[in-house]
This record gives sequence, C-alpha cells and structure tokens, in this order.
Amino acid sequence: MASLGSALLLATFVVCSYAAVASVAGARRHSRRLIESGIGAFYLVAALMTAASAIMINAFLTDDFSIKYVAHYSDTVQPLFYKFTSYWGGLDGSIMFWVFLLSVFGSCAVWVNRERHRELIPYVVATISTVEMFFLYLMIAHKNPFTTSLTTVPADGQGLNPLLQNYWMAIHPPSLYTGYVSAAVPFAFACGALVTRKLDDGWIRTTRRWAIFSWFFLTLGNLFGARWAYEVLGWGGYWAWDPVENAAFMPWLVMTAYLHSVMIQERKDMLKVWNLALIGMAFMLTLFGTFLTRSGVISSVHSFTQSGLGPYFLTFLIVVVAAYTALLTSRVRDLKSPAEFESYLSREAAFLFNNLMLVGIAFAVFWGTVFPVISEAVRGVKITVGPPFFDKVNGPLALGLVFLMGVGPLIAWRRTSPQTLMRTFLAPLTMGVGAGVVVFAMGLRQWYVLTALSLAAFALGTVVVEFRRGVSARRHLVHETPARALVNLVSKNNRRYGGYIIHLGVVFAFIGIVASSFFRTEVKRSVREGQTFSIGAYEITFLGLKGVETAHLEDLSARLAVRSGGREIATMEPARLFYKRPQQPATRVAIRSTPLADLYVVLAGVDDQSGLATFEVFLTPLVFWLWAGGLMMAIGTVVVMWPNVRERAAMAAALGRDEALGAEPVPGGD
Amino acid sequence: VLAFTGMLWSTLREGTEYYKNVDEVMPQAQQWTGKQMQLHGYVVPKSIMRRRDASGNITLDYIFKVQNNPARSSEPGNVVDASYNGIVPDTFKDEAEVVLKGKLTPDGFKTDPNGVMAKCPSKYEAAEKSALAGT
Repeated sequence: MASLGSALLLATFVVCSYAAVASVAGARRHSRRLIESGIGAFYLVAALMTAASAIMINAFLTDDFSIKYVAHYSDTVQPLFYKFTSYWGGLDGSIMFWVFLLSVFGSCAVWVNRERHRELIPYVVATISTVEMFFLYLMIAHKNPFTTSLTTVPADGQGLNPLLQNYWMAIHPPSLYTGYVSAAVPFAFACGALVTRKLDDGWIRTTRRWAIFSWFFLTLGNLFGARWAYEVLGWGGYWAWDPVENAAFMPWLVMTAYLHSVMIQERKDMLKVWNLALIGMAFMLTLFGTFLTRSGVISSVHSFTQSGLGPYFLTFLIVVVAAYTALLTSRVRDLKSPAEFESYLSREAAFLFNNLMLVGIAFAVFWGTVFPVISEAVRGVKITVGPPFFDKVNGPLALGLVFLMGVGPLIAWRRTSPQTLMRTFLAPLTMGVGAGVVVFAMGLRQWYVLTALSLAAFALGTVVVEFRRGVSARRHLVHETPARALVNLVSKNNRRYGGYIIHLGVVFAFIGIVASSFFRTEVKRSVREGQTFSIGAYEITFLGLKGVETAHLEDLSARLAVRSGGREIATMEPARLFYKRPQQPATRVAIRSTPLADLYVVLAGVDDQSGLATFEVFLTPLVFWLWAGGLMMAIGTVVVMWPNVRERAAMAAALGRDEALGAEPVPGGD
Repeated sequence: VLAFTGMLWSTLREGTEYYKNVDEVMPQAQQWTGKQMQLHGYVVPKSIMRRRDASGNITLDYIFKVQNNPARSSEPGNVVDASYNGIVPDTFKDEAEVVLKGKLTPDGFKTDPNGVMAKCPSKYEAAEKSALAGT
C-alpha cells in the first residue's frame, strides 16, 4: 500500500503540473478545450489526494508499521480516534493534509464558479495548482509520508506524543489548516482578477464567503489552540506569544482587516489596491505560518528541531511575494479609485484606522517573531523576544481597536457633523464612562484595566443601540413582538447583525483576556492528606490519592474537596499521568469554571517517602468569557455566512447577469 | 506610523533577551553575570536535587547542573550550576535539553519563576508544544 501511496503522490504532481500549464495555455490561446482539460486535471488532483489520504488513514487504522510515519506516530494500544488524528500529527502527514484540503477546496470553488467567472477560472486553477505543486514536491523529494522502513518492520509503533492525545489537539490542527488553506481561494481569485484585469469587486463578492469561511476556521483554530494550551500544558495560561501561536494569529489579524476593508470597496469603490494587498498578505502569512510551525527556523528557542525544509519554504515564499508584488504593481494604474475620503469623521475613516491597527498588530507580531532570526543573521547575536514586548506593543493597539469597534457601526458614511456625532454616541458613551466609574469605585486603579473595561462597555453599548434601534423600527413598522422583531431583524440582515454578534463575542473575549492577564493569582503548596490550604475565597482540602493502571497509561489522581463560604462546592481530581508509549509523564489539570472565575488545580508531584503532594493552584477571574466570547464569534460567523436572498440579488446586479441566482454552494463560493 | 515604529523599537529593546549556549557564557562568566538571558544546555545526569526544609520535607527548591553538549556525547563541554524554585515541567529530568530563563550569579545560574523549558531526551516531535509549558 505504501508504494501505491508514493505512486499516487507522484501521479498527483504530474496531473497538477498539467492542470497549471493547460489552463494558462488555454486562456492565452482562447482554447476552451485546453481550459476544460486543465480544469478536469484539477478535479483529478482532488480525487487522487483523497485516495492517498484514504491509504494513509487505512495504514494508521490497520497498524501498518512498515510505513515509518505510522510507526512514528501511532501504536497498537492507541485509541482508535487518535489513530485517525495521527494522520496530521507529524510534519509529513500535515503537509499531505494541506494539499488534500487545498485540492478539495479548490475544486469546490472552481466547480461553483466555472460558468460565472469563465475568464478568471484558468488563472485560479493555475494559482492553486502551483501552490499544490510546491507542497507535492516537498513530499515527493523530501518528506514522503509513505516512506517505508528499509530493514526490519517494527512490531509496534512509538505512539503519539501524550500532549497531543487530547480532543482539542485532535480538532485544533484541522481547524487551523482549514483556515489557512481556504485563504488560498480568495487569493487565487485575486490573482485571476489581476491577470485578466477584471478588477471590479466581482472577485471579492465571489470569494466573500470563502474569506469568511477561512476567518471562521482561523478563529476556531486559534481558540482551540489556546484552549488546548490551557487544559493540557498546566501553567494556568492560554497564550504565550510563542512563534507557533503567532503563526496562527497573524493570518487571522490580516483576514479580519480584509473582511472589513472589502466593505468599503463594495460600498464606495475605494481601497482596491489595499484589498488586493491584504488578501495577498493573508495568503502569504498562511504560508509563512506553515513554514514557521513546520520548518524549525525559529525553533532555536521553542521547538529545538530542524526539519531541513526551511530553505525550500523560504524560497517559495520569496517567489510568491515577488510574483504577487510584481503583478499588483503592474496593475496599479487599472486600480485607480475615483472616490476619495471626505472626512475623518466617517465610517470609511473608522474602517481605515481599524485596518491600520489590525495590520499594525500583525506587523508587530511578525517583527517580534522573526527578530531573533534577523538578529542572528545580521549581528550574529542570538536573542529572544518575550511576551513583554508583545503585550506592550499590542495592548494599546487592542484598546484602539475596541474603541473603533464602538465607533464604526454608528458613525455615518462619508461625513458626520459633531452634533450628530454627539447625539448618536450619547448612549454608548454613557455606558462606557459609567462602567469606568463603577470599576473605579470597586477599587481598581490600573489605568489599562480601567480604560479597557470602559472601552469594552462603550463597544457593547454601540451594539446594544444598534439592536434596539432595529428592533424598535420593526415593532413600529410591522407591529411585531420584540422577540419576533429581533429574530426577523437578524435573519433579514444577517450580514450586518451577524457581524454585531461577532463584535459582542470580541468584546467578551477582550474582557476575559484583560481580566485574566491582570488578576490571575497563584498558590503553590505541599500538603499531607487531610491538610487544607486556601486561595481567594476557596479552601481546598487534600483528601487522598488514587492510582489506576491501564494498558495505555498509569494514572495517579488526587482528590480535593473545595469549600467556599463554609459550604462544600466541588470535588476536584487533578492527576499525574504516565504514558507507556512513548514513556512520558503528563499532567491532567482539574478546572472548575464559573463565569466569575476559574479554579485551576495542577498536581505537580507526589513525594513517595513523605506522602507530601504538591499542588499548584491558579485562580483566574473572568477567563470563562474568553471562551464564551469565542463561541459567540463562531455563532455570529455562521449567521453571517447564512445564505441570504438579498445578497444574491446584489451579487447578480454586480455581475450584470441573472444566472448568479443559481445554485447556492456550501460552504463557500458565493 | 513614525510613533508606531518608535514604540516598536523601544519596546523591542526591553523585551529581548540574549539566547546563549553554556559554552558561550561560561568562559567569560564575569562578563555575563547579572544579565538577563536564556541559557541553552542539557541537564547533567543524576544532578537534579531538591532541598529539604527544616522538618525534612522535600521542597520545590531545585539545584541541578547544566552542560553544553548532549548528555551522551563524549565531551560534556562547560558545566554550570543552576537553581530553580517552583514547579518543573514534566519533561524536566536527567539528560533533558533545557532552556533556562534567568540570570547568571556568582553562585551559578539563577532561574526565574516558570523559567524552565525542557524537552525530554527521547526524540519526539511536538515537544515544541511542551516547551510552551514553561513560558
């Protein structure tokens, strides 16, 4: 089966090259047949990659340890679920997974738009095929996941790293990769639009849903990663500005900027070059992210391993950046926008500042991430950039963003007079200032926290005002009950109000992040059975230890009774695990989460001689809202993506045809 | 934009630390004493010890030695004494590859709270993630 897999990869590469060449040649010569055959080859790539993936998954499920990759990341006692997810557990498999996703997404996007965007499609096919070719080349020449053991076949595998045997870890990489890969679709359409000079907002409308789809999965990917770090790593936090995390965060930031700025192009026909630049940046950052997590370049500090793929990635990245920049520069004259900014007190300006801040944060993160490498190359001095840098730079920018989030939705397009401005913002401003006063009265004095909470309340106020305005308008016009009006409001304007739901989520997540960063407390204690210690309002009593052994692992858990206000409120069981294959200890954290605060207990160690158990306990206020806010962002995104009749009509108008009212693709395309 | 660049630059200077191998630091120990840095090396086998308190209970006070080269290589390279108070990651044990955040003092390398990042000696990927545990 392994040789079949290798052969399939090779065949895919050939088919892929054909797809790229045939479609471009077809477009140049206006040969419909050549283009069609290129598209056919493009679909075939997806079919071949699906087959190759099936072989790989089958190898994992049947414990085929003759394949090195399987032997490395699985073993016989591994639970079935993790055998499945081991497919993307390592470098070789994750590259293959990348190509698989890209081929499937690309085929969907081409299938849906093949009639509507006849001119663009050949270049979309060529762009995506070229990217696929690069990854296929990596696999075939350097990291073939189907490589077999040359000598003896091991009787059993080495097993997946226990840190990765966790359901968050099972869904985190696929989410992130889905987010990464689907960003390639709008990018490919942008390339097509540039080459063919069809530079109206057709490509944006066509790929809007793909961009949101990508954003949705980038959001989830980041959240799942943070949640995984929180639950598994046992240090009480969820984010450490590690290069691997930054790699996932940067495309998210740029994609967020893109989703906002395209609204200005759709409305005002401005910022064309900027949008093309943003989608280019977003795509390149997804490549860079894959490069960063998978190449070992910035690993000197964090991941210690070198994979040797660095130079290839870097070369490809440079080629993509150069090619895209050249293409964009050569079309600048076609991208002249007739409209201009009229006033700083306008929604356009608010969006523009929002964009600058998002890109500013992305740039700061990028700079902090690559600075160690640059410093080593230029000055020969190895240094590291720590969380203080990222916190200090991004903290103020985040405040600015939340402020703009409060301003953007209410301020008028084009221009506003200061008087109207005052009237519009009276309610949200009151909420913001009120929140600040309340928090100040509660005894908080850190200026950052005060500002952050005031601004959060301000942004929240804006959303509330918008909803109230919409609901009361419906109640007066069509005489609906408030609940009915709310439902109709959201479903009839899903793009707008879905966006507000996302804003709500962001505000809640922001509050959670600020509170958990500033007010986390920590206690370390070694105690005997029966002894009690306290953190915050909680009293924790160590009741005893319990050991369990399975074929897979040894599990030593401690029972703790948690009391608050004299009442017993919970029993918690943090544990130390010892995995048998690979032989490695791990921690199972016990978390008691409430909207007010998370109690987070780690069993750090047990001393056999004295019977002392050491606990590390964190009390983190409001961190619950980070996850709740994340969930809200996800729900809001689903609302935004929901098919909407009115939008299709706008689309049809933009394209000047009626066919656009045809089939509605799932998930993207329209 | 200028203000932003300025801010970026000034914070970058505060936020950065040197990243050094034991061999780069120890020959000029004097010069490096007191400087905040991250020190890369390998835990010397059987060197990890924990202090006991007055009543004989084991504490979270660790002392151990770190050498420049991997534990099983022929030459250990320079060796430095290190100390740490707190919870160590699961992967911190004999032969582990470590990065310590802290300062060199005349009594050895004093590691910051939560300043131990370790990778277990066996070659498993994704230890990059376990390294996170220490940050």
